[in-house]
Amino acid sequence: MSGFIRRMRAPYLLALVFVLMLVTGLMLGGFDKVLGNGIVICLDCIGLI
Amino acid sequence: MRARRWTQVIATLVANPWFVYFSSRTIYQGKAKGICFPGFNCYACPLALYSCPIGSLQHSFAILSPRVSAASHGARLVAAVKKQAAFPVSAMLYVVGFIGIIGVATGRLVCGWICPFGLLQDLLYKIPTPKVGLPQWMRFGKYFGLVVVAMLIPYITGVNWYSRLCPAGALEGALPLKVLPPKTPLPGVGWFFWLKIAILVGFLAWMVVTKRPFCRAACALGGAYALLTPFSFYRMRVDSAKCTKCGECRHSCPVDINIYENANSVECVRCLSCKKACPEKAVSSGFRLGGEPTGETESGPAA
Repeated sequence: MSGFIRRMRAPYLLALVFVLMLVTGLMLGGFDKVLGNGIVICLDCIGLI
Repeated sequence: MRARRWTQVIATLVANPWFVYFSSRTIYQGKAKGICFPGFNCYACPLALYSCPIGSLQHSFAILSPRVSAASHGARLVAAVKKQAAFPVSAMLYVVGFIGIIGVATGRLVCGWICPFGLLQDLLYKIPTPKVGLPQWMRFGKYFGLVVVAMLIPYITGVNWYSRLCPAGALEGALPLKVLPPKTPLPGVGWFFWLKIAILVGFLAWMVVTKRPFCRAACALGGAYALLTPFSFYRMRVDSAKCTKCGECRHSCPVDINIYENANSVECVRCLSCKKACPEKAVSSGFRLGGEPTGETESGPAA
Protein backbone atom coordinates (compact mmCIF):
# COMPACT_ATOMS: atom_id res chain seq x y z
CA MET A 1 0.00 0.00 0.00
CA SER A 2 2.78 2.37 0.98
CA GLY A 3 4.61 1.65 -2.28
CA PHE A 4 1.43 2.27 -4.24
CA ILE A 5 0.90 5.60 -2.53
CA ARG A 6 4.46 6.64 -3.29
CA ARG A 7 4.19 5.64 -6.92
CA MET A 8 1.10 7.81 -7.18
CA ARG A 9 3.24 10.77 -6.15
CA ALA A 10 1.04 11.40 -3.12
CA PRO A 11 3.97 12.80 -1.11
CA TYR A 12 4.47 15.52 -3.70
CA LEU A 13 0.77 16.37 -3.77
CA LEU A 14 0.61 16.44 0.03
CA ALA A 15 3.71 18.59 0.23
CA LEU A 16 2.16 21.00 -2.28
CA VAL A 17 -1.11 21.14 -0.31
CA PHE A 18 0.71 21.84 2.97
CA VAL A 19 2.95 24.49 1.43
CA LEU A 20 -0.12 26.20 -0.02
CA MET A 21 -1.85 26.03 3.39
CA LEU A 22 1.21 27.49 5.10
CA VAL A 23 1.62 30.31 2.58
CA THR A 24 -2.11 31.13 2.59
CA GLY A 25 -2.17 31.10 6.38
CA LEU A 26 0.81 33.44 6.55
CA MET A 27 -0.65 35.80 3.95
CA LEU A 28 -3.96 36.02 5.83
CA GLY A 29 -2.32 36.81 9.16
CA GLY A 30 -1.87 33.38 10.74
CA PHE A 31 1.58 34.27 12.00
CA ASP A 32 0.25 37.19 14.04
CA LYS A 33 -2.51 35.02 15.52
CA VAL A 34 -0.03 32.37 16.66
CA LEU A 35 2.26 35.14 17.90
CA GLY A 36 -0.61 36.81 19.77
CA ASN A 37 -1.38 33.53 21.48
CA GLY A 38 2.26 32.68 22.18
CA ILE A 39 3.34 35.87 23.90
CA VAL A 40 0.89 35.53 26.76
CA ILE A 41 1.42 33.01 29.52
CA CYS A 42 -0.89 30.16 28.58
CA LEU A 43 -3.01 29.64 31.69
CA ASP A 44 -4.41 26.45 30.18
CA CYS A 45 -0.88 25.06 29.86
CA ILE A 46 0.04 25.77 33.47
CA GLY A 47 -3.29 24.79 34.98
CA LEU A 48 -3.97 28.16 36.58
CA ILE A 49 -7.47 28.67 35.31
CA MET B 1 27.79 10.89 23.94
CA ARG B 2 26.10 9.73 20.76
CA ALA B 3 25.22 12.11 17.92
CA ARG B 4 21.48 11.69 18.52
CA ARG B 5 21.78 12.54 22.21
CA TRP B 6 23.83 15.65 21.38
CA THR B 7 21.22 16.67 18.81
CA GLN B 8 18.41 16.21 21.34
CA VAL B 9 20.25 18.29 23.94
CA ILE B 10 21.11 21.05 21.47
CA ALA B 11 17.52 21.09 20.14
CA THR B 12 16.24 21.43 23.72
CA LEU B 13 18.53 24.42 24.24
CA VAL B 14 17.54 25.94 20.90
CA ALA B 15 13.87 25.66 21.92
CA ASN B 16 14.51 27.09 25.40
CA PRO B 17 17.31 29.69 25.29
CA TRP B 18 15.53 32.56 27.11
CA PHE B 19 17.75 32.48 30.20
CA VAL B 20 17.13 36.23 30.53
CA TYR B 21 14.00 35.14 32.39
CA PHE B 22 16.03 34.39 35.51
CA SER B 23 16.91 38.08 35.85
CA SER B 24 13.99 39.83 34.11
CA ARG B 25 11.15 37.49 35.17
CA THR B 26 9.36 38.30 31.92
CA ILE B 27 8.57 35.71 29.25
CA TYR B 28 9.89 36.22 25.75
CA GLN B 29 7.45 38.24 23.62
CA GLY B 30 9.35 38.69 20.36
CA LYS B 31 8.51 37.62 16.83
CA ALA B 32 9.95 34.11 17.26
CA LYS B 33 6.89 33.22 19.36
CA GLY B 34 4.95 33.29 16.09
CA ILE B 35 7.03 30.35 14.86
CA CYS B 36 6.08 26.83 15.90
CA PHE B 37 8.86 24.62 17.25
CA PRO B 38 8.72 21.27 15.40
CA GLY B 39 9.03 19.23 18.62
CA PHE B 40 6.81 19.04 21.69
CA ASN B 41 7.89 21.99 23.80
CA CYS B 42 5.57 24.06 25.98
CA TYR B 43 5.38 27.74 25.06
CA ALA B 44 4.40 28.54 28.63
CA CYS B 45 7.92 27.49 29.63
CA PRO B 46 9.64 30.68 30.84
CA LEU B 47 12.69 29.80 28.73
CA ALA B 48 10.76 29.03 25.51
CA LEU B 49 11.44 31.06 22.40
CA TYR B 50 8.91 29.45 20.05
CA SER B 51 5.29 28.34 20.13
CA CYS B 52 4.10 24.80 20.75
CA PRO B 53 2.56 23.45 17.52
CA ILE B 54 -0.18 21.58 19.39
CA GLY B 55 -0.96 24.57 21.61
CA SER B 56 -1.18 26.71 18.47
CA LEU B 57 -3.29 24.08 16.71
CA GLN B 58 -5.79 24.06 19.58
CA HIS B 59 -5.88 27.85 19.67
CA SER B 60 -6.48 27.93 15.91
CA PHE B 61 -9.54 25.67 16.37
CA ALA B 62 -10.72 27.42 19.53
CA ILE B 63 -10.90 30.81 17.79
CA LEU B 64 -13.10 29.19 15.13
CA SER B 65 -15.50 27.92 17.78
CA PRO B 66 -19.08 29.20 17.52
CA ARG B 67 -19.56 28.47 21.24
CA VAL B 68 -17.19 31.09 22.60
CA SER B 69 -18.97 33.70 24.71
CA ALA B 70 -17.99 35.94 27.58
CA ALA B 71 -20.38 34.12 29.87
CA SER B 72 -18.99 30.67 29.16
CA HIS B 73 -15.32 31.35 28.56
CA GLY B 74 -14.42 34.58 30.30
CA ALA B 75 -13.32 37.94 29.04
CA ARG B 76 -9.71 36.92 28.32
CA LEU B 77 -10.50 34.42 25.57
CA VAL B 78 -13.32 36.51 24.10
CA ALA B 79 -11.04 39.55 23.90
CA ALA B 80 -8.43 37.41 22.15
CA VAL B 81 -10.99 36.09 19.67
CA LYS B 82 -12.31 39.57 18.85
CA LYS B 83 -8.77 40.82 18.35
CA GLN B 84 -8.18 37.97 15.95
CA ALA B 85 -11.50 38.19 14.11
CA ALA B 86 -10.05 38.83 10.64
CA PHE B 87 -9.56 35.55 8.79
CA PRO B 88 -9.62 33.35 11.91
CA VAL B 89 -8.98 30.31 9.70
CA SER B 90 -5.53 31.67 8.83
CA ALA B 91 -4.00 30.40 12.09
CA MET B 92 -5.29 26.88 11.38
CA LEU B 93 -3.93 26.99 7.81
CA TYR B 94 -0.54 28.17 9.04
CA VAL B 95 -0.20 25.58 11.83
CA VAL B 96 -1.56 22.61 9.87
CA GLY B 97 0.62 23.58 6.91
CA PHE B 98 3.68 23.79 9.17
CA ILE B 99 3.07 20.43 10.85
CA GLY B 100 2.21 18.87 7.48
CA ILE B 101 5.43 20.02 5.80
CA ILE B 102 7.56 18.62 8.65
CA GLY B 103 5.59 15.36 8.59
CA VAL B 104 5.74 14.86 4.83
CA ALA B 105 9.44 15.68 4.75
CA THR B 106 10.63 13.51 7.63
CA GLY B 107 7.76 11.50 9.18
CA ARG B 108 8.52 11.16 12.90
CA LEU B 109 12.21 11.99 12.63
CA VAL B 110 11.57 15.04 14.84
CA CYS B 111 10.34 12.71 17.62
CA GLY B 112 13.60 10.81 17.62
CA TRP B 113 16.08 13.65 17.19
CA ILE B 114 14.55 17.01 18.13
CA CYS B 115 11.79 16.63 20.70
CA PRO B 116 12.74 17.68 24.26
CA PHE B 117 9.99 15.50 25.75
CA GLY B 118 11.35 12.55 23.79
CA LEU B 119 14.79 13.21 25.30
CA LEU B 120 13.28 13.18 28.79
CA GLN B 121 11.63 9.82 28.11
CA ASP B 122 14.81 8.32 26.67
CA LEU B 123 16.75 9.36 29.79
CA LEU B 124 14.16 8.21 32.33
CA TYR B 125 13.95 4.77 30.73
CA LYS B 126 17.65 4.30 31.46
CA ILE B 127 16.88 4.11 35.19
CA PRO B 128 17.41 0.44 36.06
CA THR B 129 14.00 -0.94 37.11
CA PRO B 130 11.79 -3.80 35.94
CA LYS B 131 10.36 -2.85 32.53
CA VAL B 132 6.89 -3.38 31.03
CA GLY B 133 5.61 -3.14 27.47
CA LEU B 134 2.83 -0.99 26.08
CA PRO B 135 -0.47 -2.65 25.07
CA GLN B 136 -1.08 -2.31 21.33
CA TRP B 137 -4.47 -0.63 21.73
CA MET B 138 -2.94 2.27 23.65
CA ARG B 139 -1.15 3.40 20.50
CA PHE B 140 -4.46 4.77 19.22
CA GLY B 141 -4.39 7.26 22.09
CA LYS B 142 -2.19 9.68 20.17
CA TYR B 143 -4.71 9.88 17.32
CA PHE B 144 -7.55 10.40 19.79
CA GLY B 145 -5.46 13.13 21.41
CA LEU B 146 -4.86 14.81 18.07
CA VAL B 147 -8.28 14.60 16.46
CA VAL B 148 -10.62 14.72 19.44
CA VAL B 149 -8.79 16.49 22.27
CA ALA B 150 -6.59 18.90 20.31
CA MET B 151 -8.94 19.77 17.43
CA LEU B 152 -12.58 18.69 17.86
CA ILE B 153 -13.08 19.62 21.51
CA PRO B 154 -11.39 23.06 21.19
CA TYR B 155 -13.63 23.73 18.17
CA ILE B 156 -16.78 22.65 20.00
CA THR B 157 -16.04 24.23 23.38
CA GLY B 158 -13.53 26.97 22.60
CA VAL B 159 -11.26 25.58 25.32
CA ASN B 160 -7.77 24.09 24.85
CA TRP B 161 -8.34 20.80 26.64
CA TYR B 162 -5.17 19.10 25.45
CA SER B 163 -3.11 21.91 27.01
CA ARG B 164 -5.14 21.69 30.19
CA LEU B 165 -4.16 18.05 30.61
CA CYS B 166 -0.69 18.15 29.04
CA PRO B 167 2.15 16.81 31.25
CA ALA B 168 4.74 18.76 29.23
CA GLY B 169 2.85 21.93 30.16
CA ALA B 170 2.97 20.92 33.81
CA LEU B 171 6.70 20.16 33.71
CA GLU B 172 7.90 23.03 31.55
CA GLY B 173 5.28 25.66 32.33
CA ALA B 174 3.36 25.16 35.56
CA LEU B 175 6.20 24.08 37.86
CA PRO B 176 8.83 26.64 36.74
CA LEU B 177 6.29 29.47 36.83
CA LYS B 178 5.24 28.56 40.36
CA VAL B 179 8.83 28.21 41.60
CA LEU B 180 10.06 31.35 39.81
CA PRO B 181 6.93 33.46 39.26
CA PRO B 182 6.93 36.14 36.56
CA LYS B 183 6.45 39.84 37.24
CA THR B 184 2.94 39.55 35.79
CA PRO B 185 0.72 38.32 38.64
CA LEU B 186 -0.70 34.84 38.07
CA PRO B 187 -3.88 33.36 39.56
CA GLY B 188 -3.45 31.17 42.61
CA VAL B 189 -3.04 27.42 42.54
CA GLY B 190 -6.33 25.57 42.18
CA TRP B 191 -7.38 21.97 41.87
CA PHE B 192 -6.58 21.95 38.13
CA PHE B 193 -2.95 22.65 38.88
CA TRP B 194 -2.79 19.60 41.11
CA LEU B 195 -4.59 17.50 38.49
CA LYS B 196 -1.88 18.45 36.00
CA ILE B 197 0.83 17.60 38.51
CA ALA B 198 -0.80 14.21 39.15
CA ILE B 199 -0.89 13.50 35.38
CA LEU B 200 2.75 14.55 35.13
CA VAL B 201 3.83 12.32 38.01
CA GLY B 202 1.93 9.42 36.47
CA PHE B 203 3.65 9.85 33.12
CA LEU B 204 7.09 10.32 34.70
CA ALA B 205 6.69 7.05 36.59
CA TRP B 206 5.46 5.34 33.42
CA MET B 207 8.47 6.66 31.48
CA VAL B 208 10.81 4.87 33.88
CA VAL B 209 9.30 1.45 33.21
CA THR B 210 8.05 1.71 29.60
CA LYS B 211 9.77 2.92 26.44
CA ARG B 212 8.46 6.38 25.47
CA PRO B 213 4.87 5.92 26.71
CA PHE B 214 3.85 9.53 26.03
CA CYS B 215 5.11 9.43 22.42
CA ARG B 216 3.36 6.16 21.74
CA ALA B 217 0.09 6.59 23.64
CA ALA B 218 -0.68 10.27 24.07
CA CYS B 219 1.36 12.70 21.96
CA ALA B 220 -0.90 14.57 19.53
CA LEU B 221 2.10 15.91 17.63
CA GLY B 222 3.53 12.41 17.30
CA GLY B 223 0.10 11.32 16.08
CA ALA B 224 0.12 14.00 13.38
CA TYR B 225 3.61 13.05 12.22
CA ALA B 226 2.69 9.34 12.38
CA LEU B 227 -0.27 9.88 10.02
CA LEU B 228 2.13 11.41 7.50
CA THR B 229 4.93 8.84 7.90
CA PRO B 230 3.64 6.57 5.07
CA PHE B 231 3.91 9.55 2.72
CA SER B 232 7.21 10.98 3.95
CA PHE B 233 10.22 11.60 1.75
CA TYR B 234 12.54 10.26 4.46
CA ARG B 235 12.43 6.46 4.24
CA MET B 236 13.76 3.57 6.26
CA ARG B 237 14.76 0.38 4.45
CA VAL B 238 15.66 -3.15 5.40
CA ASP B 239 17.69 -5.29 3.03
CA SER B 240 15.79 -8.57 3.06
CA ALA B 241 18.83 -10.48 1.79
CA LYS B 242 20.94 -9.39 4.75
CA CYS B 243 18.35 -9.41 7.58
CA THR B 244 18.49 -12.46 9.84
CA LYS B 245 15.66 -11.32 12.17
CA CYS B 246 18.04 -11.54 15.11
CA GLY B 247 16.02 -8.96 17.08
CA GLU B 248 18.87 -6.55 17.81
CA CYS B 249 16.83 -3.79 16.14
CA ARG B 250 13.95 -4.20 18.58
CA HIS B 251 16.30 -4.41 21.53
CA SER B 252 17.78 -1.01 20.66
CA CYS B 253 14.50 0.58 19.53
CA PRO B 254 13.09 3.33 21.81
CA VAL B 255 9.54 2.53 20.67
CA ASP B 256 9.88 -1.26 20.71
CA ILE B 257 9.27 -2.21 17.07
CA ASN B 258 10.76 -4.81 14.72
CA ILE B 259 11.96 -2.67 11.85
CA TYR B 260 12.08 -5.71 9.52
CA GLU B 261 8.32 -6.24 9.86
CA ASN B 262 7.52 -2.75 8.54
CA ALA B 263 10.44 -0.49 7.77
CA ASN B 264 8.22 2.59 7.70
CA SER B 265 5.97 1.84 10.64
CA VAL B 266 3.94 4.79 11.90
CA GLU B 267 5.42 4.09 15.34
CA CYS B 268 9.02 4.50 14.14
CA VAL B 269 10.62 7.74 15.38
CA ARG B 270 13.50 7.43 12.89
CA CYS B 271 16.11 7.55 15.66
CA LEU B 272 18.28 5.16 13.58
CA SER B 273 19.29 3.12 16.63
CA CYS B 274 18.39 -0.02 14.67
CA LYS B 275 20.67 1.05 11.86
CA LYS B 276 23.55 1.30 14.29
CA ALA B 277 22.66 -1.89 16.17
CA CYS B 278 22.13 -4.17 13.16
CA PRO B 279 25.07 -6.61 13.00
CA GLU B 280 24.36 -7.32 9.32
CA LYS B 281 24.10 -3.65 8.33
CA ALA B 282 20.72 -4.46 6.76
CA VAL B 283 19.02 -1.20 7.76
CA SER B 284 19.44 1.94 5.70
CA SER B 285 17.68 5.28 5.53
CA GLY B 286 17.61 8.54 3.66
CA PHE B 287 15.57 10.97 1.62
CA ARG B 288 14.18 9.29 -1.48
CA LEU B 289 12.74 11.77 -3.94
CA GLY B 290 12.66 9.50 -6.96
CA GLY B 291 12.41 5.74 -7.53
CA GLU B 292 13.25 3.03 -5.03
CA PRO B 293 16.75 1.51 -5.04
CA THR B 294 16.95 -2.12 -6.09
CA GLY B 295 17.76 -5.00 -3.72
CA GLU B 296 16.05 -3.40 -0.73
CA THR B 297 12.55 -3.48 0.66
CA GLU B 298 10.44 -1.05 2.64
CA SER B 299 8.28 -3.71 4.21
CA GLY B 300 10.77 -6.37 5.22
CA PRO B 301 12.03 -9.65 3.79
CA ALA B 302 9.90 -11.70 1.48
CA ALA B 303 8.13 -14.66 3.05
